[in-house]
Amino acid sequence: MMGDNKNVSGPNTVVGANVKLVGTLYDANEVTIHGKIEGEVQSDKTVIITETAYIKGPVTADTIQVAGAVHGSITATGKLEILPTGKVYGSVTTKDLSIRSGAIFIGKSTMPEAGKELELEPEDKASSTNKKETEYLAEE
Amino acid sequence: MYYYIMEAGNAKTASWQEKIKDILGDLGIAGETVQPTAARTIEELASLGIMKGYSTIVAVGSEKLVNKIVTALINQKGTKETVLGIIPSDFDGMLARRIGARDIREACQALKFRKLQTIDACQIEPNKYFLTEAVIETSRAVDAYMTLDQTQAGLIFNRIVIKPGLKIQIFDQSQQTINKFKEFWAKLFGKTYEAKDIYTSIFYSKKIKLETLGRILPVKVDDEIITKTPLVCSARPKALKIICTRDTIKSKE
Repeated sequence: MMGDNKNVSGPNTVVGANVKLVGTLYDANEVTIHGKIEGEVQSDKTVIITETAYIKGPVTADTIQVAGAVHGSITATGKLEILPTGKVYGSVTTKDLSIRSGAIFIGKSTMPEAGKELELEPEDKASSTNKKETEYLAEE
Repeated sequence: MYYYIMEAGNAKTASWQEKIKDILGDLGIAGETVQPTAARTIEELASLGIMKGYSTIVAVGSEKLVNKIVTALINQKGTKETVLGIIPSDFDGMLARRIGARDIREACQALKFRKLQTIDACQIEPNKYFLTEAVIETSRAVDAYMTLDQTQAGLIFNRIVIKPGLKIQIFDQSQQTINKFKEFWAKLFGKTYEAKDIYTSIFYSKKIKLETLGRILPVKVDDEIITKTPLVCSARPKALKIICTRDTIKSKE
């Protein structure tokens, strides 16, 4: 659950508002954070970062909900939601992003699957123009 | 085969124990019955039972008695085959729920049918074990420093509960009182104040080291002080075999 020992897991982990944690926090289930964390946060399911929470470090989970402050990269394999009180300073990677009005997001956003489509398009175009050029040269 | 350790007590306890002996006799599982005295402690009696070669040691009484026998059983080397049976005095308690017995008769019948379940225990270093919960409590919130496996945490608390599997619950009830006060004032002026409990923490770990800053606090198991802070507590998975009722559903706790 905590640290490198990933085989222990409980129903869910809650970090209270008067707790300051340094290190890696891992839970196979839901993680709710009200306090401060300096380090990595990982979950196989959901991470809920409430209004009072402050995280300095990367956050990785399937679904992430941010109402507090995150200084670090966020990777959500499922959905990332930044609520009106949420502040994210760092890059985010997700396939489903929702930023509510009032939220602060300073950083780079990457959508892995949408990115693949974008990468394919210029190549296709380039290959088709190359074909045209070769055809034109052949005609000549 | 059965070695019964019965808790010393008053006349009411004695009559309750007589009733148990009758039921055990009816079921044909009566065995040697012992009671702790000033000369022989519970741990010594449990060790004696193991030395005599009994395969089942039965704790008859409170959760405090059970935890002491658990400590003796786990500390005794080469007792993997010794099984723990429980006839709890409180059928609303954690241990009664764990074995799945609702009354004395069910607990006694479970001993006869011997359905075994391997359970986790908690170890408080150096050599104390428990199946219920350890509590660190103080009226005034204190600062503490905690290490959970590879993670360090600074916290404020006035109650910590440690349960087997190593579930650690941290409470700051002073903040909860403030919330209740705010709720009361809001109600008084016809407003609504939804108090959220954001000061309770729950962690799961294999090992916990806890150090209270500026104060030494007692660590209690079943209202008995067994050690003081700083505390090192670790999970002991599958530490012991206990006898459960036949229809016990494995609980996560």
